[in-house]
Amino acid sequence: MTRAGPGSASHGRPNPLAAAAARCRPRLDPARAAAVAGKMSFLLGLGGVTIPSLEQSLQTGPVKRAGGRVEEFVPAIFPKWANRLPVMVMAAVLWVGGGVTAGVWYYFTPKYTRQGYQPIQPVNFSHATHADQVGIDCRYCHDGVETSGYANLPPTAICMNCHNQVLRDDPGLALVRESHDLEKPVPWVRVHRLPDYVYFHHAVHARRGVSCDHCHGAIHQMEEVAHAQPLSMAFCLDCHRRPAPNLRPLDQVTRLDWEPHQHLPADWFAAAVNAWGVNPPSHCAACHR
Amino acid sequence: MKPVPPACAESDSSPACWRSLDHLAGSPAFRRQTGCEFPGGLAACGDAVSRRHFLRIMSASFLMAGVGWGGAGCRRPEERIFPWAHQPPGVAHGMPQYYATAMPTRGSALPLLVKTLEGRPVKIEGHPGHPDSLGATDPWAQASLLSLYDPDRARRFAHRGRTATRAQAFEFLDRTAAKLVANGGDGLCLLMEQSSSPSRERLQSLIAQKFPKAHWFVHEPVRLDASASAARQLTGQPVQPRWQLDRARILVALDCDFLGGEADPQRAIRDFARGRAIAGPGGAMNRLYAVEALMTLTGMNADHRLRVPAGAVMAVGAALAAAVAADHPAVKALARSVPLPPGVDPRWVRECAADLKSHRGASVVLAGHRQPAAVHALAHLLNQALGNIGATVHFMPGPPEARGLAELAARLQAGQVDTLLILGPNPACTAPVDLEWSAAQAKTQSAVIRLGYFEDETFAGSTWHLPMTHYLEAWGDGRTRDGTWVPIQPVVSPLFGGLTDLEVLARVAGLEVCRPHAIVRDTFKGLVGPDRFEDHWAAFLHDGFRARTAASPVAVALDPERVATLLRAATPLPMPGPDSLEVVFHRDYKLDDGRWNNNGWLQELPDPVTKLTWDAAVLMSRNTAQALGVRTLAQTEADHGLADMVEVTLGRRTLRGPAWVQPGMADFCLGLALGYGREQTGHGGTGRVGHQIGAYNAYALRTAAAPHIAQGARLRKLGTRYRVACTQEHGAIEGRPIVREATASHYAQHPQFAQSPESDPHAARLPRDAQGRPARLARHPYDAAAPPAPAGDGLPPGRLKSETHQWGMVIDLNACVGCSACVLACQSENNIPIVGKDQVWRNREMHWLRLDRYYTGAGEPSDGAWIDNPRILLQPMLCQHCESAPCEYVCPVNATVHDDEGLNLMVYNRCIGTRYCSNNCPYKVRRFNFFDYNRRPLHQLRGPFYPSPLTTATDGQWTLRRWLHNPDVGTRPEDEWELLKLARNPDVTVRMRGVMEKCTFCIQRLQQAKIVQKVRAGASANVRVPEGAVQTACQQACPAGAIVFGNLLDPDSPVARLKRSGRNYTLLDPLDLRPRVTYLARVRNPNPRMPEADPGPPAAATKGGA
Repeated sequence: MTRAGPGSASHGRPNPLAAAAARCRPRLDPARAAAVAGKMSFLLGLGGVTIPSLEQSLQTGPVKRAGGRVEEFVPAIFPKWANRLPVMVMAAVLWVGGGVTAGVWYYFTPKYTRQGYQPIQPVNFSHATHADQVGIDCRYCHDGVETSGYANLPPTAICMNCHNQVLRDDPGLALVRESHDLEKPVPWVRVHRLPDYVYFHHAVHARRGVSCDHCHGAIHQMEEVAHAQPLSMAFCLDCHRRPAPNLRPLDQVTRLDWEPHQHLPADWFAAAVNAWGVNPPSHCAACHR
Repeated sequence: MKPVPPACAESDSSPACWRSLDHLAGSPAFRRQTGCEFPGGLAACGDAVSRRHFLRIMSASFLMAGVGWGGAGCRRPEERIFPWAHQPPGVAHGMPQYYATAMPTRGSALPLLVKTLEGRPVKIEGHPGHPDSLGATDPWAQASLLSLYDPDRARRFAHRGRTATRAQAFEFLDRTAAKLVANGGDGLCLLMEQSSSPSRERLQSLIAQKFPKAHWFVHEPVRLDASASAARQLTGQPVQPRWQLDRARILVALDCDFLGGEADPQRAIRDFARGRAIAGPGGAMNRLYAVEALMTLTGMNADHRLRVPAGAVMAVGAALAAAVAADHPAVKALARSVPLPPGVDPRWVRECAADLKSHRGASVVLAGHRQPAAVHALAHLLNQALGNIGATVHFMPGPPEARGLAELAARLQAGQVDTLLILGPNPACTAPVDLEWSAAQAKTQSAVIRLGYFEDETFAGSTWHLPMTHYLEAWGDGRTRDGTWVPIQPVVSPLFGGLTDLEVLARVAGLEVCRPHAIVRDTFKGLVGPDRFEDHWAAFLHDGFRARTAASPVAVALDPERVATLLRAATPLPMPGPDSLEVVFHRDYKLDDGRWNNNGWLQELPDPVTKLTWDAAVLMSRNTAQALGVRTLAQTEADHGLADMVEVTLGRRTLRGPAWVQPGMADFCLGLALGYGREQTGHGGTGRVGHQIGAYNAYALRTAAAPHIAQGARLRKLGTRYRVACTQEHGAIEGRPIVREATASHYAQHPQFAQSPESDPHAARLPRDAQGRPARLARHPYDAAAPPAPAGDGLPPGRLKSETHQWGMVIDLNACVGCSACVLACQSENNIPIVGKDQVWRNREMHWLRLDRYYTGAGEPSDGAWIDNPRILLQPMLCQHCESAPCEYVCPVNATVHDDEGLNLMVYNRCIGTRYCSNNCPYKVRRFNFFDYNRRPLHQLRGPFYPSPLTTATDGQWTLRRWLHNPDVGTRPEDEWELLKLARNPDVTVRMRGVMEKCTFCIQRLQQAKIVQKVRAGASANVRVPEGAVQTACQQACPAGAIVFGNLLDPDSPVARLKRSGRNYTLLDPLDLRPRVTYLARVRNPNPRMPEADPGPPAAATKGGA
C-alpha cells in the first residue's frame, strides 16, 4: 500500500497523471525516465532535421499557375526521391527501435543503478578483515555517521593509530604511510554516489534505527567494497513508506551480522514505529531541495 | 470541477496605491507590463518567428543535445574522494562551522557569524550575542560574501603595472623601511580609510615614534561623522554622539537618513522598529518627522515628511530651534537670517516643535552627514534644550579629527612627498575633482605604494600595487560603535595571497612583528594583560567580542560660545530654481561610495527607493522634469524603460546621465548617486559586461568645497534616450488591496480594520454560496479525505497533514523599513543567480523575495501636489505558500506539490518549464530560468538574440568542444566558474535552464532542523523542532525583526501569537487560498494637529494595492 502524498491526490479532482506516476513509480524512477527521454529527443532531433527539408520539397507544388488558370501539369506529383521513402521510413524505424531497445537495455538494468560496481581501490583495504575478523565498529573510522550527513571517510591518521604498530612495513600500506607523512590524501575511489539533486543524511538514518547493512549490504564480508543495492528513488521510497521491517534497536545499528528478525519478536517493529514516532517523509522535499 | 477564477476588469478609477507615475496615469507602457507574465520574450524580438524557422532551430538544438548526451552524458567518470591525512579537531565533513568575526565599516565594525562549509564561507549572518548589534545585518554585509569570490579582484603584486613576485614586493618594502628609518620618515605620507581597529591605532603610534616626520591622512569619499565633528567643535572634546532611538517617542530627521544612508543603519533600524512596535489598539508608538530633499528610506517611513531643498534644511532646523529654545540669541538671529522656504507651512514647524516639547527627554533630533556644521549644531542644541542628552543621546569618546585629502594634495603639489603609502582608498576615482588627484599623485618623488582590492583607477599611478585581503581572509580587530572590541578572524586562507593594511604598515615601518595574527594578539595582550592570556584570547575569538569593553558616556555640555560662533558662521544657501538647480551627491544604497561597484548582488538589487538596478539616474521631482522639458510618462509601449538623457552642468564641469522622476523629491533639486560609471574596476562595475550600465560618474562634478550639496547647476535635455532596468512595475497585482494601513487612532477604534475582505473591489464579482459568502474556488487539500490507514506496517493512520509541524510566516509591515537586507540574504542562501541588466529589463530577475514599494496619497487637492509628496507603503513579497495553491493544479507534471507541513514545494527535477504555474500565481512570485544563468557570463545575457555555444569561444576554445570535454563548466571562463562555485550553498540545488523556482521557506534549513531534532530524539518520539531552532534566511537578516517564522501548531510560538493579532490579514482573502504567509497591517502615527494630517476616514483606512 502506498500513501498518497498531499501533492498527488488532494486538489479535489483526480489527477490521472499523478495516479499513473504513482502506479509505475516502483519500476520507473524519474532519473531513468529523464535519461530515456534524452535518448528519444536525440532521435526526434534527427527527425527534426529531415522533416523540414521534406516539407520544403513538398511545398514546391505540383502545378504551376498563371493568372489563376492552370497552365501546365508537372509530370510527377512526388519528386523522384520519394521512391526511396519506404527505405528511409524502415531505416528510421530501425533507428528508433534500436535506440529504444538500447535505452531500455542500459537504463532499466542494475548496470545503470551502479549495483555491483566494484572499483579497485588504491589501497588494498579489506572491510572483511577489519570489520569482521578484527571486529572494529563502523563508527571507529566512519565517525560522522551519527552526527553528520556524511559518514566520513577516515583520515589517514586513523589508519596509523593501529598501523604504526601492526604491519608497520607492509608494502601494501606504503601509500598510507606516505599519506600520513606527507600530508597527502589517499585517493580513494568513490563507490556510492547519489545524483546531485538528492540530499541524503546519514545521521538521521543511523540514529533512528536503520542499519548500515540496509543500504550498503553485507559490507563486513567484502574484501573490496561493491555497490550492493540500487539506491534508486524506488529503493528509498520502499523503506520510507514502510519503515517498520528495517528498524532495529539503536545499539545494533552497526552490527551488520545481527539479524533483527531472528532476535526480536514479530510485533517489536510496529511497536518501535509508534514509540519512536517514526514517520519518514515521502514528499519530494524530503530529498530534493 | 476545474476552478475558474472570476474575470476581473480593471477598475475605472485611478488606483489608490500606485507603483509609478505610469501606473497612476494608466499609460500603455504600464499596461504592457501587467498584461503578460514575462513581457519582453520571444514576441519582443520584433519579427515573428515562423514555424519552419522554429522547427529548424529546435531540430538543431535537439541534435546538439543528442550529441552531448551521446558524448558526455553517457560516461560515468570515476570519482575520487580525498579524506584528510590529519583531520583538524572539531571539523566534520558536512557539518557547517560558524566563526565569530566582524566586517570593518567606516570607523566601526559590524559583528558577524560566518557559516563555513569545507573550509569556505558560504553565508554571513549577524552576531546575535553581541551586545551592540544583537544579530542585525545590512545589505552590504550580506553581499560582502560575493566580493570575496570576485574574479576581478587584484590577484597579483604589480610593479608599474607589470606582474611582480611577492618576494620582490617584500624586498622593496624592506628597502623602503631601511631608507625611512635612516631619515626619520621624512617625506613619508600615509593615506588610509577610517578604521576602528585598535591594532592599527597601536601601530600608528609605534610608527609615529619611529618616523616622527611622517604625515597621516584619512580619506573617505563620504564622511558619515559630520555629527561627531560638530560635537567636537561644540564641546572642544573628542566625543561622538550615540543615539538610543528605541527610547525616543518623537524623532526629527533633518536630512538624516539614519535608516539607510548614515553610519550603522542596521542598529538604527532595529531601534526604530522597536520604538515603532505597537502592542495593540491604542498602544504607544513613535512618530517620525523627516525634512529632506531626496526621497530616502527614512522619508519613506516618516509619518510627516517635509520636502525642501537640501540647502533649506537649515532654515527648517533654525525655525524648529527658535520655537523650542526661543531665548537663545544666536538661534534667534539665525532664524531671522534664514527664513522658512516658500511653500513650507509655518504650522508644520510649530506643531512639530510642540510635539517635541511635549516629549522632553523622549525625543531626538538628528542631522544628516550631508548637512553643514550649523545644522548639526542646531540638532545638538535642540537635544540639549529638550533634555535628550543623557536620555536618547549620549556623547561617547571618539577619535580625534584626522587630516583629510585636501592637505595631502597640497603637500603633493608642493613636491613635499617622497613616498606615498595608500592603504585601501581609491583617491584617483573618489577624490574631489578640483584636487586633480592623478596629477598630484604623479608628483610623488620616489614611490607610490598602494594596497588595493581592485586594480582600479589608482592602480595606473601606483609604483607598487599590492593585493589586499578580504576581511574574511585576514586577521584584524575593530570596535563597534559602543566601543566593544571585536576580533576579525580569517575563515579562509587568502585566495590570492593578499596582504592586510596591518602587515603593510608593519613592513614599511620595519617592525619586527609583521604577521597580522601576531600584531592583533599583541594589541589584545595590551588590553587584557599577560595573565591567562590564552584563555582570554580563546574566549575573545569564540565569543566574537570582549565583554565589558564598551566605552561609557562622557558628561560634556555644549559650549555656548562655540555654539554661537558656529551658528553665526552659517551661510544660508539660496533657493534653487530652474536655472540654478541644486545637486545633492548621495551615498548609494547599494554601491555605497562605489566600493561595492563590482558586486553583482548589489548591482542587481533594486534600489530601495527608486527600484532601479545596475544604474543610477539623475533623480528629480515631477515639477522639475516638467519645467526642464524632461518626459515624465512613457507615451507608448516602446517607451518602456527609456529615460531621457540629460546633461548636468555645474561650474565648468558636465555630466551626462538618464533623468528619472522620483516622487517625493524637492523641486529643482537633482539627486546624483556616487559610485557608478567607474572607468576602471571589475566587469560588474563598468560597461564591459556588454550592457550599458552605470550611466554617469558623479565624482566628476564633486568638489572639495561642496562635497554633498552644490548649487547653481544647469540641466539640458540631450534628445537621446537611455534604457534603464527598473523593477517598480514588476509583479503588479491589478488594483487588489494587498497592502493595508490605518492611522493609530483609527486602529484604536477599529482593532480589526485589516480583516475586511469586502474592501476588495473585486470581491463583488466573486461567485457566492447560498449564504452570500464568497464561494470556495477550490477544495483545500488538507480538507480532503485522508487515505486509508496502511495495513500492518505500524504507521499511524493515513493523513495528509502533519501533526508535528505546520510552518507559517508573519510579516509585520509596521516594522519593515525596506532596507532590502532580506533580499540579499535570500539570494546568498538560495544560490539565486544574477541575470544582468537586460534580463532585469525583461522582467526576468530571479529574486525569490522582492520588496514592493507603493506610493499613496490623499488624492486632493486637484493640482496633483499629493503626487509629488506621496506617502509610501512597503511590502516584502514572496511565495505565500497557499494551502490550496493555484500553481499546483495547473502543473501538468506535478512539479509543484504540497507537502504535509504546509509548504508548497517546487521539484526542479520534475519541472519541464511550461510556466503555467507562474501564469496562475496571483501573487507573481514565481521566477523562471530563461537561461542557464549560473553558467552564462553576463555579456552573453543581452537580448533579444543570444550567443549560442555553437558560435562562441570560451577560454580560447570552441565552447561546444570544451563543453563535451567537461559538461560542468558552461560558458564562463574556468577560473571565474571555479570561484563562483565556492560562493554557492551546497545544501541548495543550483537550478538549470528551463525550470521554475520560488521561495521554499528555506526548506534546507527546515530539513536540517528536523534532522537534528530526530538525531537528538534517537529512540524516542520527541521529534518536534523546538521553537527558535529554525529561522529562514530573510528572517535572520532582517534588522527590524519584521519577519517571523515558525510552527503554527505550537500555540505559544511567536508566529502563532502574531497570527491571532487584529492586524493580521491575508492577501487576496476573497480567493480563499489560505496562504501560510500573512501580513500585519501597517499603522501610521500622524500628528492630528499637523497641517497635512489626514484624519484617516474608515473608507480610506485600507488602501488598494497595484
